[in-house]
Amino acid sequence: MKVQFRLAAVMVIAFASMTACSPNEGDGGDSDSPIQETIDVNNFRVKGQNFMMPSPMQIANMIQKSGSNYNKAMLNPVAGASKYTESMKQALNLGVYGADLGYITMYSNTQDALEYYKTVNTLADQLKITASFDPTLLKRFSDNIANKDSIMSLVGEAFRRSDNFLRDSEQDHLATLILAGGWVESMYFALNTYKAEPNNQDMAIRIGEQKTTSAGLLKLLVESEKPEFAELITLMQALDAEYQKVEIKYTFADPVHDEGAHVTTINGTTDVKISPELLAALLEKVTAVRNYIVN
Amino acid sequence: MSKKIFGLVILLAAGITALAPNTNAQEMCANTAKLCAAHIVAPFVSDGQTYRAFVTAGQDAQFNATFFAGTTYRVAGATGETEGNLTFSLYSVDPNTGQHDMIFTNSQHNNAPYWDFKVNSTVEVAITATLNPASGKESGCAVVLVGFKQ
Repeated sequence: MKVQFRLAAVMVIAFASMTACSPNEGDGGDSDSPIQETIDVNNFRVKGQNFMMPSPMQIANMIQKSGSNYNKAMLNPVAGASKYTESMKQALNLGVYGADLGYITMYSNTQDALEYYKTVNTLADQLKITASFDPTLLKRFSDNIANKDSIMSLVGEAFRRSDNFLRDSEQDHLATLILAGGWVESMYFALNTYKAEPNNQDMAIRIGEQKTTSAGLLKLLVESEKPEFAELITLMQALDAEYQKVEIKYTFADPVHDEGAHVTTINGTTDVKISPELLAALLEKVTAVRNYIVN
Repeated sequence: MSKKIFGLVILLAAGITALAPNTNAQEMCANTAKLCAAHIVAPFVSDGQTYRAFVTAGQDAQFNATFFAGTTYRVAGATGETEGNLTFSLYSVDPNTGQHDMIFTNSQHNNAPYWDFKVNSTVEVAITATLNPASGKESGCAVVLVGFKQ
């Protein structure tokens, strides 16, 4: 029996109370009702999501490892951050700037890193989630700016705390927007990198492997049930429609466990088929979503 | 009319009673998340998210993810304030058929609070979390954190 991750006990109880008082309803309860089950099982409100988005830093790392040069022109300029005055755009662009920061970190560009970190901090402050940041984080960031691994850890932890804070304060929709902004920016980097290096087949495959993420993110946005997400969802639907044309075949193979090292090697293999035409279409759709977010 | 008033009273009562356990639930999850976070340390980088669900004995929670080639992932799971009370398992998922094949369960590895997964080829995975029957717990906040290194 699976637990539903998005639980709203108050609403469920309220709904149950109201239906109990409805003159149109009989007295008998339905023992198979999922509502009744939710009341019994979950007299708590624990929010979360059951879909894991890849970290923008993973995608940035993939780009850097492909040998591609640092391209600041791909980033969202920090000078434009002040134009985001609504929480929706602030959250989306917190994700965008976080992905930019991840990309910058991979290339160890310390001057840009500090500038983007400050912008991330400013947007987090505007969204009132700086409380989730360690107060010493900025100093630790500055002190370790030359150490790529430390900076990656600090950024990852800061975003995890923000995510946790938003879910604790029942602002899951903002957490989803941060994830969405980060993923769209990452795919914008990856697809532009492929455009500049069309022989980079490894990059093409890595892009194709994001098919499930595209569908999962779209689902998260739709399930947020926020009318203000409508335009973003329409653009994401267009992107996902292209993504679903990617062909993926998976073959399972037995894993190998190393008990001493606490490591399991996953040996299954995935074959991805994605054409240059499809990659061009994905770039067009990702650019449309990204333009909506940053403008 | 009296039914409406009765409904309103029930609604208010439900709201008030739900607030207290909700705070407890958040605290419970926050403490468990700290326990898990202690395992997501350098060289592993947090993926920036916290996965959690309220589970009762016999139920499981499922999280879906893509593990990308060339990456080692660390999955840490816990419930309550001590380790070993959460059983977590990892399955590969065929994206076309939805078939699940078990890759790992910590119940076969001394209920390890964390485990690493080396990924040679990208794979869709499902992580399930359930209360360890040996813990005797009736319910709890299951938290799963994921870190990666490349």
